Amino acid sequence: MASLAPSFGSGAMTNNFNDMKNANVILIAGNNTAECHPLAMRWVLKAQKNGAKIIVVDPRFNRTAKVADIYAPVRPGTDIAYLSAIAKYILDNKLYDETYIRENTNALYKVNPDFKFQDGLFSGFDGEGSYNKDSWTYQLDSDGLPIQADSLDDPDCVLMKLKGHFKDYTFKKASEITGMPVDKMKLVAETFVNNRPGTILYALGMTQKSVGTQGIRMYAIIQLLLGNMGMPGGGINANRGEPNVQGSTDLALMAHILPGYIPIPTDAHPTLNDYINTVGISNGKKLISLLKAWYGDKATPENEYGYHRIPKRDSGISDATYVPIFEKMNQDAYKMGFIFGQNPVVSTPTLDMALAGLSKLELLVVSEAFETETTSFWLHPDFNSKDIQTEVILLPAAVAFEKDGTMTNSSRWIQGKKAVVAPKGESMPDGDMIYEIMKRLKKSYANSNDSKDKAILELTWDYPVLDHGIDIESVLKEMNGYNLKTGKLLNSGSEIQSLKPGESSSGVGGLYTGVITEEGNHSLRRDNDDPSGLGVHPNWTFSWPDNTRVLWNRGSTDKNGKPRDKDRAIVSWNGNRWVGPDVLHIAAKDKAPNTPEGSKVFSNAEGKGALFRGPFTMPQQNIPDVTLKSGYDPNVFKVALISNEGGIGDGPLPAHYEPLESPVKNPMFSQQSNPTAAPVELPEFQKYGKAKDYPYVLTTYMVTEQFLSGGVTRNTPQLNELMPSNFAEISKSLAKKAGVKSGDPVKISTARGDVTVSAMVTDRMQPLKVDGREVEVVGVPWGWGFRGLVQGESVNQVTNSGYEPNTGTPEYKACACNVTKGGK
Amino acid sequence: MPKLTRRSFMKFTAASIAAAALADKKRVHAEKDDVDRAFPLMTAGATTAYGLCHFCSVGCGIEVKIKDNKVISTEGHPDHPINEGALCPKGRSMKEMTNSDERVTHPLIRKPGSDKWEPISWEDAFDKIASKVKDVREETFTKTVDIDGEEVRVNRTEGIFSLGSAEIDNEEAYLYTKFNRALGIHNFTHQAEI
Ligand code: SF4
Repeated sequence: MASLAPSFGSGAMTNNFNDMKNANVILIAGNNTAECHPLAMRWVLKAQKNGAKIIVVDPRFNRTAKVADIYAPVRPGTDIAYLSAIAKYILDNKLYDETYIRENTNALYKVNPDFKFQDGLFSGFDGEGSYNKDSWTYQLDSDGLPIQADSLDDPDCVLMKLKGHFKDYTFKKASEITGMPVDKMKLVAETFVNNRPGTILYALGMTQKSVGTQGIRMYAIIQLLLGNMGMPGGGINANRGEPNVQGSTDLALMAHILPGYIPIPTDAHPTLNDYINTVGISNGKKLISLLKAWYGDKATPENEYGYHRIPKRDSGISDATYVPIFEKMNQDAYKMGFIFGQNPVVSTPTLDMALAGLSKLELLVVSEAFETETTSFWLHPDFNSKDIQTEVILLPAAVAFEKDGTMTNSSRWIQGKKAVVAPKGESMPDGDMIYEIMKRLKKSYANSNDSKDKAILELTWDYPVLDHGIDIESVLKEMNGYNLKTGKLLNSGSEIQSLKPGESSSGVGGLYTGVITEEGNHSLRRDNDDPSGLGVHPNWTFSWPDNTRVLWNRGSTDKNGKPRDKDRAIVSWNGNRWVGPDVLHIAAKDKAPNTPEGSKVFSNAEGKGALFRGPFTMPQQNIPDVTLKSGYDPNVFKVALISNEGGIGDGPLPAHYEPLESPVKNPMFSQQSNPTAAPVELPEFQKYGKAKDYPYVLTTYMVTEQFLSGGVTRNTPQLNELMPSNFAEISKSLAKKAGVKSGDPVKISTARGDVTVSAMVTDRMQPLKVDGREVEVVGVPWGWGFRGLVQGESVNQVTNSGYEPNTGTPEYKACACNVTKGGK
Repeated sequence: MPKLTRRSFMKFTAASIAAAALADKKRVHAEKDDVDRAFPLMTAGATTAYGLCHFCSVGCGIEVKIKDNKVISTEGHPDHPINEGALCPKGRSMKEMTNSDERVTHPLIRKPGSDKWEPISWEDAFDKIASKVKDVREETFTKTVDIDGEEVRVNRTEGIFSLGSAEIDNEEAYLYTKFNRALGIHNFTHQAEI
């Protein structure tokens, strides 16, 4: 979500599954909906039945393509090229929604004259893998606000910068890069542009690339230009993977954030004042509310609300954490580790790196419902378990039906459920395990006077214990937050901003506020009524933020608050107040459309959709002359900036770079691949192959019947019957070259080693014409391993651990490989 | 029944599964008694409860049939606005997954150099984990770092990493973050990143 947040203000699926029926066109690119999100497909098909056109772009003619109106193939890892051609088509032919981009985007903002882009590099490159972003800024007036051009033809304005930037991406050029035929690409462009509103569906097929963030930025740019944001049937719909991955991201199981997307304090912010000065007023208030939830009465202005109890991140490192953890494991950085509900010995690219890393630990604690390749890595066929000194504790986890709790689906619905059966055997919910371990730590530190141990000793942890474990609803209440003056549950995250710092608590910084109020637990609401017929279902569970179903929906109305499309009137201003089936977002609900608060469409630093995304700081005006006392001074809120956007590490605009391993030289620039990609840390594992040895493109994916790493589904006979073994999908021409037929073993080798699976020779795979020659693509499902009722070699043994520099997501989707007849 | 403390509950589950089943009857949140559904024989006497699919993030609702504290069927919940009574094969398999004999049902330990699992009690497992966390935290804690000549308090535990999970509930994920951060753990992420 590293691209949606800087583009709009927060990153999540913008609309919802039911809303897709309102679309007139759906572009599915980077997501095999029918296969991986089968019940989302229901709503794609309803749209199609209503007359919408379905476009699928994918390297493989997949299950979704089968029912699409248009299918266009693409070489893995090159999406930015064809999307840039679509952007060029929109810009050259002025097919953008002019009113929308004038009012709601930064199209008119004037860009710093020092900003340049030459031969694949933006201005400010340090020659070593990072950028100084000082020239990626706006021209500012004396108040620090962006200067706006009078006309969209002003050569300095963002729109003209875009036009210049994309000018070389003709359909022909983009076709040479992507292998997508020119006429197909034109048809995709025309169909998507001429049928509005249109929505875009993507998933890991877009993000598992070394240019993933910029690929999604293309979606943001196109949807802003077409005026599709905020519209029912529009938006950008990231279909996420695991059942609660939206929730776990919101709750910040990540190194660079705290719950509610509050930026993590770093060593560049020695005091709470410094932190608030850097991240802005709104995030500052959110952090204080979180500290009040975590440290209660022990969080006071005098101790900076317990600010130092949160570990401060090293400001010199990037957000990427997953691959670096395995790198550091191999460099002996850790003595122990926790792995809760995750199977990295199937899912980590360059698997030998994960196996070697885990072998170096003294203790590994794993919580799982089933034995997996990770719990039992010491039984790996390549190991002699005698040599592995890691002690492993496996905690049996209760499963979904056995515990109370909420999960947040991809479209931000916080859905509650109750335990319906007892945990099997002695298995236990993960929450109770965590509770018990912390209880013991509190006890063992009880006599400590060391300041560092206050983080543990004073942590609020007194959850009521019921007959089956801790009271999960009390945790949800802490997350929702309280008005500390009244002791009542908060109703909206906006109260954290309106109350004084320290007067509210919320463990998620207000993001989930409203899910449980004095009225009751809204996650358990099950009224499926949809009075508007627009798929809003306002009383079905609770959708963050504030029960809003379509993000940025203020933009579905014109500047006077009148719906832009009367058939899609999801919010509107009736002269006195905002009404409609959905909750207004992001403008103030009690303010008229022509007021500053009532006209706000996006929540990033500028409040405008970012076609061009450089750093920007929204300053406060009329700052009083005060000297702050050190540490924390409430006056910091009078002087700090309002909000801050740091920009994206690899550029303010997307550009086509080849994957880290590619069969061709970059046809656009002499800069071959993403210039900010991280360097190799473990040369013994992280090897790169050359096109002459590894001429084909390997891509990986999932099948309906085996879920992700297979840790659960490969233990489930009814699913194993449907999908009993792994395979490699290859074209007829490649099968001929390799001398194999369907069912024969094929060896897939990369610079990291080889795996052998059965060949599936199919017309679904076709060689692509790239830069004048044919490029073969090989597809292999990745969720296989050496444990479970059915087993198979993991293709991640040979995938590339090079990753996207902004997010840390490895480039699983485009590796260089060779395919030969297998011997096993 | 009398309110149990956490500790006694754990002893209690270990001691008597039958009694636990009794206690857990209270936890079946029945919505309606089944009388005349499509499969009267299989579901006769079963209760119907509401569940959520635990595979992809579409978040389908499931109608769960329960008999004798066991899930006997999982069908798409007709009221759920997204799946409207339908499920994909994975959603259907929630019953088999929950009841599976392959599940781990007791805490286990694998000793250094060993080739097998051995059972360990919850008490011993928790004690062992907590004491190792404390040892490693004490050994590898960084209180301050020097940034341009200024001593900055950072309070980091360097020697423990933590992964996971997008497979646990929100409340659990929240507690997991709170737990890790309070311990000073900063090498922390999960599958959302990959
Ligand atoms: S039933 Fe299938 S589509 Fe629905 S949530 Fe489960 S896995 Fe996803």
